[in-house]
Amino acid sequence: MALRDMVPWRKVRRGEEESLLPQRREMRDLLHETFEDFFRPWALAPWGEATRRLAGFAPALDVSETSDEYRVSVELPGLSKDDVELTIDAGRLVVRGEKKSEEREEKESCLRVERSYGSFSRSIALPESVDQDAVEATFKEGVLTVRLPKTEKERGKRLEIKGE
Amino acid sequence: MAKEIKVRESADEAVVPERVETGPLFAPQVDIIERAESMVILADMPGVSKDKVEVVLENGVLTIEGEVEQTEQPGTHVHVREYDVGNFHRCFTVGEGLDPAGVEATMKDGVLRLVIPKTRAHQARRIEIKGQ
Repeated sequence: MALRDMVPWRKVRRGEEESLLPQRREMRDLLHETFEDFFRPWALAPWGEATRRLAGFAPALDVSETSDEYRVSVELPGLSKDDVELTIDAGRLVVRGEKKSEEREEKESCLRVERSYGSFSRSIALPESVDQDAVEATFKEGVLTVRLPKTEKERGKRLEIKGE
Repeated sequence: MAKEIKVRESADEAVVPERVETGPLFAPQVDIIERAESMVILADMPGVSKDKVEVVLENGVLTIEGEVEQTEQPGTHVHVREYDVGNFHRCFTVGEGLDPAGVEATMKDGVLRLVIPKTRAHQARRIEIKGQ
């Protein structure tokens, strides 16, 4: 048996970044996630990573904590509460929706487009100390704020920072 | 063709001027759309309410400013900070061909929408082709 038959050999065309073979893409994503986690200054175990899908755009979010609750705020200018779907699924908070561009008039040209459009989805793993039944969300001025109260026994407890 | 270029140049990208401010200052992302009879500027300023927006026109420079309320309470521990909360500021030069006095401004869901009409001379006009 020739060596060639034993070693899997695949031909990848140059410049075909987008259509990577499945194995290659997984490897790339794995590396990407590893680096992302590495550079995170806050490596608190319960939170895990705030993932972003590769579709449309990824709105920016902030996560903060007080002694009684967690707060997640997402910047979504131009959207209101009917445009966004907020769910808690398997211990993850998921924000998804679609930002549609305005109706285009006939004689119109875009001189500059900096704002983002399209579908978006972000999810973040929730720590166990969250009282999932008491989660509240408000949408004001294009900012979605989700308040996640801590369970009774967790309130007033400072989150321990593990590691160095 | 020359007419088109003139109107296009009227909305230039402007650099956030250097100034001393308490807190961070951001330039809002904008879309600039040219329509037959007007120029539309859409500026993303999440967190800014209608009464905290200022649109000023002075010496051919259009400035948009938005103030954001700092809602963070003391004793808050921040885990993830992908966007910083701060005021917005951006300016544009408005050239000939636009009538800034007729600007209409609306603010909704954190997006400022400015519609600046073109002066009559610069409005796209259909020219009828007369046959023989």
